[in-house]
Amino acid sequence: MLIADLDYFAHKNNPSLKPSAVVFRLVLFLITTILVLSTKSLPLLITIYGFLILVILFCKVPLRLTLFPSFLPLVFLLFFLLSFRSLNILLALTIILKALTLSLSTLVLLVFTSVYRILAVLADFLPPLLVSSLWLTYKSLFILNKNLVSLLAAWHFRGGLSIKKPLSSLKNLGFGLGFLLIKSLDMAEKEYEALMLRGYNGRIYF
Amino acid sequence: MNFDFFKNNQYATLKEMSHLHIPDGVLPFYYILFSAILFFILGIAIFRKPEKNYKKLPLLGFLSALMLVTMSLEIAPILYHINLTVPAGIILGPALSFLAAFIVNLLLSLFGHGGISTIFLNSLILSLETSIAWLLFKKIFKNLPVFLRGLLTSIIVLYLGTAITFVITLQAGKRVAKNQITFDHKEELEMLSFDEKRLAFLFFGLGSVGVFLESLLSSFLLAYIAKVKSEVLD
Repeated sequence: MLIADLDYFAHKNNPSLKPSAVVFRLVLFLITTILVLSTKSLPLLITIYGFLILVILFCKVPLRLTLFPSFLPLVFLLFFLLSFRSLNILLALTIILKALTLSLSTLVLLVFTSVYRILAVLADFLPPLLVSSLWLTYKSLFILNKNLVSLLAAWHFRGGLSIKKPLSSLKNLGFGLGFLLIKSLDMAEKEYEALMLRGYNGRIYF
Repeated sequence: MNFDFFKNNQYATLKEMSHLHIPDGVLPFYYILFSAILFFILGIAIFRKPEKNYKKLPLLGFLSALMLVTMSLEIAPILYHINLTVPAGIILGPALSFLAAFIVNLLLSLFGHGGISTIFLNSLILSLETSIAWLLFKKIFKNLPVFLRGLLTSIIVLYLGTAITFVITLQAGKRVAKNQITFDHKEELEMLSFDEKRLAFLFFGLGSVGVFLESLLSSFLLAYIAKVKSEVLD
């Protein structure tokens, strides 16, 4: 799972990152975001994107964690750009680079700063309800991903998606996901009890 | 004969959403600002008493995670990704699904999906979908059998989400074309225009296959829950 790999890389390379360093990175990320969104200059976008790639190469970050996943916004952009008549290559490049630069910058932020440390800093600024929800979602991702892998294996053993029986295949998958959802409800109840036992008062302390 | 149309790969939780997700750099700044203001106003209004939601927070966490995790289920030929917007909206209710929509979009944009500047707008669209799913399933279609209720709700909600995204993207595209012609390279770009029919085909034509598959899947899921633990849907 990409999230786990990103976090592992961030933690392995910066095991004792200071909060001030996290704040600095977040500010840098914010400035980059504003700059990319507000500019219409293609050379500036190329410079920022090139700089991010250089950082990735210089720090020997695996491309499968940063560059490759950053291409995901291209799917929507393809829809958007295909709808233009007589599209200019410079305009297309500007739109694509804006999306790719921001996508890559978030991944660069996360590959050097673990989510745990970011949340620890943001917990001082954001509403506790939001921070708690984010943390609980983040934790649950790892649990559910494991369950989903088993579920998909079971589904494949029951035939997977069959062209001859598409409805039955979807039914099997739907029932499997239903089972996962019910399991999630049970796990959520236990999680709540655990939180209460630890004296949860609306705030998670990092 | 089996075809491996659904894949679960290493990018689990991070691939394309089943609803269209507006990326960065497409929308004008005032869209971003207006959606952020609207999101904060709604957020403050909904969560005036946050302690009321403490009990459901772990559930919110698990269902948001489930929405993200199921997005790794890709229907390979059309690059469509399942999400569980409708079941999540029905179970969480409008208030908590508002927060869940934001968390899902935030985590997606943080992990390379793009859309960090459009988080608020995407969250508003997604939370509108979840709220309408709750309203349709629990109030309007409540006398219908669960499977049919789920199917109708999913189809309406998913098309609604697609339609809203279509309108926003259309406006953004027209604005991009107009701005380029007016200010930048008038001579070179005189023919530049945004084709709404082509965009409509891409959104509704290709998207319909995904909407249909996801609606069936959500309906089976809801039917299973109704069979095993019906109190969840009450």
